[in-house]
Amino acid sequence: MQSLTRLMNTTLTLQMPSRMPAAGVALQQLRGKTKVVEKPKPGAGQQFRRIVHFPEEYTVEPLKITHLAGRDPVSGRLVAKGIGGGIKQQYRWVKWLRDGPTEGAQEELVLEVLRDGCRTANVALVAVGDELKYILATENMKAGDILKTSRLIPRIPVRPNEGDAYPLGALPVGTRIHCLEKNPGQMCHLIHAAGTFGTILRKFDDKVVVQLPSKREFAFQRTCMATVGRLSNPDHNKEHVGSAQRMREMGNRPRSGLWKRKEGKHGRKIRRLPPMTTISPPAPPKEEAIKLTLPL
Amino acid sequence: MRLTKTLCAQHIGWHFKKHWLVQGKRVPKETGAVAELLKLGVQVKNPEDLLNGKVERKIVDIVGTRVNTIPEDSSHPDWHSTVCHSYSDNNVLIGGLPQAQVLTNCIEIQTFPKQIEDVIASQQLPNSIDKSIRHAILASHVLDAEQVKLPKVRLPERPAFNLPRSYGISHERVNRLLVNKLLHETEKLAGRSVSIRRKLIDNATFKTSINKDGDLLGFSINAEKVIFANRAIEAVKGKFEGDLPDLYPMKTTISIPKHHIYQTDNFYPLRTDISCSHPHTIFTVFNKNLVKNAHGSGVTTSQLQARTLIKAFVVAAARARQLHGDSVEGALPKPIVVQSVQTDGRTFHFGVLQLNTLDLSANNPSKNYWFHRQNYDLFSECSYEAGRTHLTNYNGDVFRIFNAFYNN
Repeated sequence: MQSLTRLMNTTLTLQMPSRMPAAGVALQQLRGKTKVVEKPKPGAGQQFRRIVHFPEEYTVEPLKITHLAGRDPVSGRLVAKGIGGGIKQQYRWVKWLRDGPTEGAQEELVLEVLRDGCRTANVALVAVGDELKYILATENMKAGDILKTSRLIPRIPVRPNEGDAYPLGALPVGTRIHCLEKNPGQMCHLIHAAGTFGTILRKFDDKVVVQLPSKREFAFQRTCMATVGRLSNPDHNKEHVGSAQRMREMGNRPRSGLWKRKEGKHGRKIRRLPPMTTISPPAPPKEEAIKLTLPL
Repeated sequence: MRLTKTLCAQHIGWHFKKHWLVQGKRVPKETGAVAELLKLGVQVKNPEDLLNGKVERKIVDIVGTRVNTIPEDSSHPDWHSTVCHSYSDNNVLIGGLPQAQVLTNCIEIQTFPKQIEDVIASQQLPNSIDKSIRHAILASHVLDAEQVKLPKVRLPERPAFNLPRSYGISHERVNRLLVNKLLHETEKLAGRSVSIRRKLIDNATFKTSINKDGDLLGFSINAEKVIFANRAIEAVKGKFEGDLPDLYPMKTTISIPKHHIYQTDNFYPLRTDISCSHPHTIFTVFNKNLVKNAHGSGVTTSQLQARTLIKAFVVAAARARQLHGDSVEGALPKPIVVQSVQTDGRTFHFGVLQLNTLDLSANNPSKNYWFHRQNYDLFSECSYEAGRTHLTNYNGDVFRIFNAFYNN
């Protein structure tokens, strides 16, 4: 019956004066059934919470953001549920790479420790030479501190202070670290959240084993840069949201039906951790697929 | 009951379409064909370039009233390959007063010159003056008839709160009125003999550029009120010793924005042949809504004091260049003294700069002098309270210093 009505409609449309564009029908069909929209899956490191409008050059000026409310910025379709609204924060562009000299050490001065609305840990404004930059602040960092950065790996491990950045191989066993490079030169730094830290457990060959905040052990190359100390705002995980309105201010929408008794999501069965994993070098960039345009 | 037989068929077209969504995307495998073709001398082109070739659009030069904007790149007429650290009104030196001292090669002396100190201590002011100043403060802060929308106020502890917009006297007008009224009172006290030797200018621009240790520094500032005198202020007697602060690991030029598009001209608002062209005192206004650190934080006391010093320095340097030519380097034949006052309507910072040398290099033994005291609050609160004007903690010292500066 439905198809009959549609057929009738089509014939009716076709009988209309020729001045009306005939594409209207096609559009209607396209909207209903055949339009395929590719949208990403939630997770995979993308938050769908905001886009930051990064300028071409690095700057310490607070950057403007656009809220996405869980939508994919390419297709505009909803990907992540439960996100939306909230107070518009300003983004502070953290310079992840702590680049230092291969001989000796570079000294940097902490000017101010600031609260950044877009992340949980505090950020520190650091001055070196003619340059100002943000780094993540450690637990006890304060204005006036001098930080050291070096890429030298001496025979005897250095005695680092909080906030110093060294290669993993230069740090003694037992050191608490954060902002850990996954592979030398790869722009992927681990351990960023407030109050977290990794611990250097042991060293073998040219690898250093680090226990990440998830308690899992990974073996990194000894030239990977890491910053010493525990990240600031350690009470963040104990902080209560307090009210539903505060949740809205944080940009989260009302939620319900998330308690799943039987899925084992809320409490894990205590199992042994997976064995130590060696971090593999970064994968080569994926070759771009050719999209064939056959109008089926 | 159905009489016809059920045809267990599906519309296979949908299946093709769905399958094509997956199979229509292919990553071509490297077969070595390109290398073979190149070996044979056959040119290989990307099909994208052939199919969607670039169409060269002809740029038509339309003559009209709208002036074309000049692109801010290397084709700009003021583009230079060397970078210039350009300081302007809204910049803040992140290192505060120590950075300003190193930048201008100034040693800090935490008192005014003896001449001014003596005047402050010995001046006889009539008893009615405090009443007049109180009235001047109220007239500029509360009683003026201007009503404009004031800047938005945000509560840091309640960021979602939109407070009702308040109306009142704009910051610019409050300061202009206050400085004018205080000057009026000093002129009344000083009498015609002194005030005839002073001339006032509003919103004067000063520009200069200086080389320091291989870095080019450009300054372009605006002084809200400038007093010019017919005689230059005498150099401060005595020699002062002191060391420049150490900024390590910062460089002196930190937080001054770098630009490739700039002009290196010198500008002083009055010609030398005008009788009242000697810089005497500059008044600058500090507006916390306009002047902020590059990273968005508020301005500290030390950074505010640095601003007073830099403004005085630019005026003195622009005057020195005007008197002795753009090529003047090193020690000046006669030191130039400029008094500088900065206010935000409530807090005042007074300073006196003596420019002895324009050689700002770090190893120069001769230094410039910066005399100043700490900030003074003219009052703590000035508003309407229960429908009546209300002024608390009025500080009479501010006007005494103000008066001494004018008469110096």
